[in-house]
Amino acid sequence: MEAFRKIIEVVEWEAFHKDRVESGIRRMLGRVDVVALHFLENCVSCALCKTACPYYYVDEKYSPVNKAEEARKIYRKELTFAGKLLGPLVHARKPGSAEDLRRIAEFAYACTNCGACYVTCPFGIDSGALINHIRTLLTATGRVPTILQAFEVAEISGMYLEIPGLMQAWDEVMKKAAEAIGRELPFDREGAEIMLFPTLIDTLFTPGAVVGAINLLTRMGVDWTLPSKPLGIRPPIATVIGDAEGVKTQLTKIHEYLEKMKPKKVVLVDGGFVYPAMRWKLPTVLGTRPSYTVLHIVEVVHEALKKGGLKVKTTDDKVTWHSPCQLGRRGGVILEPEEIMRTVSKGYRQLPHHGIRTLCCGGGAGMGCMTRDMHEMMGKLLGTSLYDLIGNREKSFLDAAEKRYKLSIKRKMDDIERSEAEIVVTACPVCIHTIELGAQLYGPKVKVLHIAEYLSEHLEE
Amino acid sequence: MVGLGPDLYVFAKETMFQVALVVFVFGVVYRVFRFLLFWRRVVKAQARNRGAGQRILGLFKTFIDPILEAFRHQPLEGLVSLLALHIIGLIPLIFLMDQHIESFNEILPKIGGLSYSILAPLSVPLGLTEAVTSVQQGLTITSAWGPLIIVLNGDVLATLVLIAIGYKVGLRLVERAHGLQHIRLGDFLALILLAGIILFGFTAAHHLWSGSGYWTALGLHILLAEILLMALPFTKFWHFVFGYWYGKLHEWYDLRVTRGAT
Repeated sequence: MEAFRKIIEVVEWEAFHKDRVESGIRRMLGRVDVVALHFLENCVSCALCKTACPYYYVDEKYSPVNKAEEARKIYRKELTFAGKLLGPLVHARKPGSAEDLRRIAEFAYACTNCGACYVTCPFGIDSGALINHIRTLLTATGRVPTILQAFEVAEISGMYLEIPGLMQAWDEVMKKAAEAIGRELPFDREGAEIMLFPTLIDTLFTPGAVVGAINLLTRMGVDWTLPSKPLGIRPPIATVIGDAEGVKTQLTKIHEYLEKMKPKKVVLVDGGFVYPAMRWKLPTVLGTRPSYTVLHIVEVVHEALKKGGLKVKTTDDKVTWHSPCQLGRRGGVILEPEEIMRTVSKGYRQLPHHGIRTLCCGGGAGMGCMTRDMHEMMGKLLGTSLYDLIGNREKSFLDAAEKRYKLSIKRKMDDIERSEAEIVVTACPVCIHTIELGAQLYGPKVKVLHIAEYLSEHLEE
Repeated sequence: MVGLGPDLYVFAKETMFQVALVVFVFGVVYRVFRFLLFWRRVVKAQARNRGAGQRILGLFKTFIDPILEAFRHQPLEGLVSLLALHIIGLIPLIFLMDQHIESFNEILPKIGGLSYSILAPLSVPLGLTEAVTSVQQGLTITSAWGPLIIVLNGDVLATLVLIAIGYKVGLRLVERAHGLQHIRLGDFLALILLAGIILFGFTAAHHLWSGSGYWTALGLHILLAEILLMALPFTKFWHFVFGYWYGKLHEWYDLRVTRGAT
């Protein structure tokens, strides 16, 4: 409890500290490069992006363009002549009160960074990226959800490795996996072709996926290994709160371990933000291209099926594929899972919105953590009552965020209902959790599985 | 002191044009230079290679998808903003109308022996009456548009644009009343400027103001167009010169080429 009190002492949901706001603005603007400048300057406010966003259906004020305006107001004030001279007349303004920060936080945490606005905008503006910049500012001012701040600090400090509740979950999954393949797991082997990279969240949310991935690699007969301890809770969790320094610290640690182990391929189970962070951002953040290739388990399975290294039993399951935004739209892995699903099930059907136009479930970028249930569940694992550490102002923020989150899921569930699927297969632990919640709240009563688990159950004997 | 009538027209066509051109060129240089100031050399991940075919298809989809999405999810907005205001509104009105082709041909330098008049076969006539008469009488229609000039003429296009502007102003007022903060004063000024250019152009084209009034209307039409030219690099109109093209090409390169999203 005391350790967590220290972790969250930076959290501040009540007061307005001008120096922290100024520091946050400097950090936020320090992230502006040529691409972000385009996102900031070239929006014409046409609002065609609005219908792409799951949170627009909660309230029109949560349209991407309206939320990103918070970043633009600060940018205009700090970095444009017109903004400096004319101020509010040209919508150039810095946050000047606790109420301003409250409003900014409300907007910043009504976004999953799913990228649907990016591909819908006629100008290719990624509003999600700008909203992440706003989170940079908020985190610097202390307006950061305690649960996310706790995870970030625990991950970067390595404290998570000393929390019995978390490590017990990891150990149990590893034990199950060893039983499933009938031999000891090949931990920390140098020079293996494949390094499987399950995160702690994989073992907590989708234990079947980790066991399934291990089973798949074993059945492929490839030379593989995995870390004996998780390389992070869900690394780099700092990306969710816009902490660029934290992202760099965590990726550096992971990269050093991977370079020491020298695998040819690093294979992820998590199809959430871990994939684009490891595959696409890591070289830019660290300033070097790694010696290994980062892949998702679905890409490895796809190749194995094509080359005959893996054989599956076909079924008639009425199954569909929900493409996680970070693996599909932002990660580029769209063709592979669809081809696999077509091979496995004759009853496979695409969702009405699929591929790059997939509908976000509403749970990404930490939104799925905003519920009371999640606080209680994580509190138990962390050995502390997380919710009791939170002040009243943050509690009211969380209550509103939870309502928004639950409403945002509806659109995805309608899409699933139209497909008439009975099983939803996907690859992101948060998507799985969110769609399961959506099935309880709105129906249809679908079964939701990670693709590694689903495929593992459909391997030829 | 510049008076109205022919004085204003000459001022707009000669003096002000030079000023507008200088401001525009300065603005473009400033914007591009500023853009380059933010450029950082970074190490990028190795691109996924899905082959040239997927990349070309991706390029097409990158540009066309937002248009299709607009019509699918916001049909009225697609119809008004994209179709009436842009695709069959301002774009042909500015770049293909007979008189504009003549003017641009006079102003713009030849590039590689090609002048602006290369677009003459795609020209659209100024007036609806002229277009209808041509079609009815089976007169030789010089435009490649053929009988479509009944729709593709200055009068119809200007009317479409004015309706679209009216709709956009109304919509933005409603959105502002709803408290949406992304609606700004500049949005209204941009629309009013466009409406002004079109209204004075229409007035001049139909000699609605007689005598020297014709020259006043034409002068104001040109003057407002020059204000637009000057404002172009510093306002949302920049999307037409740079923002649109850079944005979509960047998105294509980022998502379709590098990451291999299909």
